[in-house]
Amino acid sequence: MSAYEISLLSVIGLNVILAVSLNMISGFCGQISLGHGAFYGTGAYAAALTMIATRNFPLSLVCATTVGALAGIVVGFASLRVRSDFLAVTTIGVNFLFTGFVRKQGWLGGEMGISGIPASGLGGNGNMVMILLFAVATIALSLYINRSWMGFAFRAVSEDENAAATLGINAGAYKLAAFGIGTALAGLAGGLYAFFTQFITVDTFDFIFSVLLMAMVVIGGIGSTFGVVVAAIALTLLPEAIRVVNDYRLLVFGGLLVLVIRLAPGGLAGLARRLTARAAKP
Amino acid sequence: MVEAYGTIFIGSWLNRDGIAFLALIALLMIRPQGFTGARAA
Repeated sequence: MSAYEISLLSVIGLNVILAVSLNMISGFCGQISLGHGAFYGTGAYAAALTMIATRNFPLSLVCATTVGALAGIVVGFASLRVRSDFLAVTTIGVNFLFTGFVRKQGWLGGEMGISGIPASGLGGNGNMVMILLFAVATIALSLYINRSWMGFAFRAVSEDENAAATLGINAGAYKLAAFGIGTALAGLAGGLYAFFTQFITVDTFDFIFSVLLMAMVVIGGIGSTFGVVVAAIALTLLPEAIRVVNDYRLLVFGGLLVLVIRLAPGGLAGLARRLTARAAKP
Repeated sequence: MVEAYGTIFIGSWLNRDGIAFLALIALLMIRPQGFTGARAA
């Protein structure tokens, strides 16, 4: 397998983890988060600093996941105070706060980022396999949560928080749980990314990247794990396919997003359901 | 004003965009309806 293919598969795996984890927060639980890139970055920086300090690869991944989850729970508290549009604005702010803070910190590498992150010791192929295994595990976890009692509670909170509360569902606790689980996985993806590139810079985790992740969720179909996985793979491969118009990449993604919202609000998953239902009709 | 004064006092650890969003988040957390907006029933 060429280095290019290994790199592409690794990025697909990372984007699948990120999109599926964002789907748990925004799709299952209905909490719009436009700052997922910040948690991804938090995990990457936590893993990089831990690895430089301890040279312990598993500990670095655990640290990335834990720091991501803690950051997510702190931001999750905001979801107890503000809802819908205001929560979206708050999470955008969190992303700008993260990038704004990191840019000014010398111990985090500032604008230059952190280079020379010690290797995981698994090699390029090993890293790719590990990322893909984590991506499969994330998909399995997402499917499990969706079918569990927690998934029902998430959907109830997403539909109507007040109605869910009357059924005895602790909406606040479930919102925090959604943020905690989703951002822990984003932190893990950040840790994997740090070992994949061995160089991190704050520009990788900016607001535009968070919007791209949300585009994967919306185009795939909010709440559908398989739809989001397909969209994550497609939107990762798309820039490779349209490299001739790479300058207009964001325009293409934006246009796709508008088209999906206008023509297929359920995303790819909704479209597939509609086509299946039409084919099943006698 | 918040951005300008914020740059003077905390500009060494947060950039302008970050300061503006910090102020916005603080306002949303403390008074989501805004300074003069009525509290929703």
